[in-house]
Amino acid sequence: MEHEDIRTFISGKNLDLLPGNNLEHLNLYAKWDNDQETRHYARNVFPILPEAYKKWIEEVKSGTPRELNFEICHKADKKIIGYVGFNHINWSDRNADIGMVIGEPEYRSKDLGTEAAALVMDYGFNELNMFKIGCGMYEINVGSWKVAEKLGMHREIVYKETAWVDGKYVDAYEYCIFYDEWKEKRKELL
Amino acid sequence: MKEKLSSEETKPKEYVAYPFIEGETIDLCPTNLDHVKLYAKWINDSKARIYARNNQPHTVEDITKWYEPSESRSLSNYVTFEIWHKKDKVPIGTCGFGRINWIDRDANIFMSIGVPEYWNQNLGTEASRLLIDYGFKDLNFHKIYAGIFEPNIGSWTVAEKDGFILEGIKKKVIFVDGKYHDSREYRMLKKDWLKNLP
Repeated sequence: MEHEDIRTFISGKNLDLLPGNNLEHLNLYAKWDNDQETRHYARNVFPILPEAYKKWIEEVKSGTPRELNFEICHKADKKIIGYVGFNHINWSDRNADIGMVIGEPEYRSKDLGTEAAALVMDYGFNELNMFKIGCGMYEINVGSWKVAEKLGMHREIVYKETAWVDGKYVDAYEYCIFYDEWKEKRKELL
Repeated sequence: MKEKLSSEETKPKEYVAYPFIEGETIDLCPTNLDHVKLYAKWINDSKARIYARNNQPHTVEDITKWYEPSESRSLSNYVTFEIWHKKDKVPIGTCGFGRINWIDRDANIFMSIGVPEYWNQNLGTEASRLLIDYGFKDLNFHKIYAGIFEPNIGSWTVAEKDGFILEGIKKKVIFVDGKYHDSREYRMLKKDWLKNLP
């Protein structure tokens, strides 16, 4: 888990983004995704073994990827603390959703999620030529939608009663931002 | 209309329909591998594919793979039917549920009348009513939803007539014919469906 500077793909103030889907870190991914607190918000309702990621990573086909993953590395502590990336990249409509997990609990609530998401959003707009970027989360995941608001995203849709959490249905929120809006917002954040 | 449909490609010979859900004008039948060429024709159709937001060509082989029985022991996350016109005895489209989430008990409803001659005859409305009944009464869904792109006025008018509620609008999310378009997101909760039953 040593931070190897050689792999840094995007560098921020406190964080670096490294290439994701690292076959040497499968145990780390499995630890985060099975973690009871993390999966409560992410709604991972089924257990997952490290081998499952291996299979999935090795399945990746040629062509332009439909999803992208980065590991989030804390620069000062030289520690990998979570992952961030794009799910469902739609190349012809030029949009995608951001997904993120800060898997190490002691790094939560420190605005590191905001920095990681800002870095990946800037990459999406400036390098991947995206037109619109969104993210979705459940209403119970207050930390996550507060991050979306700090990033200048708007709550576009409230999907009523979409997930069964702790014995009741909860709403899902969909947030989004367009490139024109991001051009202004990035000056504050990066 | 009959002539057009009687070509070898579109008219299945001596085909017996096995209705799974019976309606008045149409039945919903299991999909049929003998009709894959027909499905390929519909999905690639230049008019229909715009409304289905499909901008990639699909081969008969691709489509065969979708409809081949799976050997997996897990429960599928979609259910597809062929829409069968009872009087004319021809398949006219497909419909079903995709992205079924068996835990949250919701699913995306989809429908496509592949033969343009059967558009604007309320067949979509009938198919969607049969599906909604099936979703709530047989599959025990809690919520059924659909995203319909703004220019597809026919579809979202049907959805509103059926009692779907506009949940929100995703702005400029689909690029079709040189422009970005909005997607209208609709929902029907089981409790709302029960209230509206005659």
